Amino acid sequence: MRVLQVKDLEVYYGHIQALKGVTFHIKKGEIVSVIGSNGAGKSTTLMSIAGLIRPSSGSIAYLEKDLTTLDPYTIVRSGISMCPEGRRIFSNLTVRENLIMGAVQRKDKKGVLKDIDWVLSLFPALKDRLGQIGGTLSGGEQQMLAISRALMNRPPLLLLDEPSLGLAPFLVKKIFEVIVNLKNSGTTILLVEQNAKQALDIADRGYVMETGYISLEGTSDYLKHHKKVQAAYLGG
Amino acid sequence: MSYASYLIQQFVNALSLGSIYALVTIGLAMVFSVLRLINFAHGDLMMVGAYGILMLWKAGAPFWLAIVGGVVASGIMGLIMERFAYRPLRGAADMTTLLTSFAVVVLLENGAILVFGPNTRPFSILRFSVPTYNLSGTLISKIDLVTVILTLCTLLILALFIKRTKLGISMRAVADDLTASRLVGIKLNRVMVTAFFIGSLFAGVAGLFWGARAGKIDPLMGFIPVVKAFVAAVIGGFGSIAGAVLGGYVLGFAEVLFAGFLPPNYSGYRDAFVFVLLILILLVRPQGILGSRTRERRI
Repeated sequence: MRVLQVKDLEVYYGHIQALKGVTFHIKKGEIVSVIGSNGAGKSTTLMSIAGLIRPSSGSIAYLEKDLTTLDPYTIVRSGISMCPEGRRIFSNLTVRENLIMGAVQRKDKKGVLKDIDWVLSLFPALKDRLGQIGGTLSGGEQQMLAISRALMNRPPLLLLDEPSLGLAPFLVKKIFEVIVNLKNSGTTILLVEQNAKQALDIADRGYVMETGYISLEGTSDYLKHHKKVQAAYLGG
Repeated sequence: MSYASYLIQQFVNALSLGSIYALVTIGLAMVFSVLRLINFAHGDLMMVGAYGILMLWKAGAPFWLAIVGGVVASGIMGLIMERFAYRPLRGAADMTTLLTSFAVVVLLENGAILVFGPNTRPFSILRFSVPTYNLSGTLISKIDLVTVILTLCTLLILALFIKRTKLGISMRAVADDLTASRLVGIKLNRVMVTAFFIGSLFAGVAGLFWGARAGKIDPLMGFIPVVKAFVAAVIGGFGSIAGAVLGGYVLGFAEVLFAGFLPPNYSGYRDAFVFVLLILILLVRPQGILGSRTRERRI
């Protein structure tokens, strides 16, 4: 079943066309990776899905419901959470308050408390940091917090924008392990990455983006062995 | 009168003046931190509150009901302002919203002159029959005492609200990172309206104390306090609510200090000395005492 269907998406920033007709889909329970270099339009695609950017044409459907013109909070409520590039945690709020904001639309207080325990079990490093101000966390901890905050909404579909950016290799490994665990427990994941090798290693399928359009798609194995991908993104 | 009791009187006087400045500045800071809007018309909300109280009281309402009614009137005027003057301009350039706020000032002040007349009106609602406490020679005005105590109570309630409630935390989240706030699903309108409403209620309370302190009100009464509140906000760190409170009290103490301890020939230059203090603070800490050096952002 297709959870997300993006069709012919076009986005302009002023006169500059950032997306030139992007079409792709995600099936339930998959990890789908979108790889590509800087400025290819990966983040723009994610931000359009999250409702931060209004596309000029094309459509985005989640479980056959049209999201194209909805506000971010309606999109969050329908079950899509995004962990943005650069983490964007609330740096003046405590870790606990950040997590509470991740669940800002939920009314079940008990469930929210339970889910704070759940995300802390995914990222035990945050456990001793609950009362600490977000801005004082290390980069790795901030990334863990950003993912945890997105998870607090219990989203069936999670959008991750460059979660490995600027992190030490052992932290990247840790975060990718958590992503695989989430998939195994039923979350559908759209992963945008410049780190093509690791993104394809954990993904079921992938798309390659180039300056505003999708140039290649297929299973991770197919992409990993494709000459073009090897030359441009896998270093050899 | 002994020197000690003179000091105590000046101290209470400064606390009371600082409390009023803190109340006005909080509203400015709240609206700025959430909407990135510099609302020059904030002082006129004090005027609306004060006139609301006076009219209700004159109409025969018991004094507590008049006060509550006037403060609520100020809150409602703030909501009207947000809805009709500022919301249509969301996302516009800072200069546009600043100019709009000047237009709102002109509208409200001239509207008040039209409705209430240009004359100063006596404002004696908090003038109790015995205006001072006499503590072994130290005279303390009851109005000052009421001002300080009620301000501390409202500050406590505000602190609980922004620390403990989901809406309060949302407000800080929006001030912190607007995009991230939208991403987690915060309803921006609700947060912005709340910030405006609370800020306006605080302006109404400040209007009550300001009028009571002077014993009179007039349609232009909001001008001086809003300018002072800007100074307080800059001293404390613009946009920070704790900074607003601190800046308000620093300003109150500075004014009383300059007025009380400068040689009589110079006390007329009180405000000049206050602005020199402002410049000195900004030279040392350009971001204000509690402000942080964060990037500019726009809604």
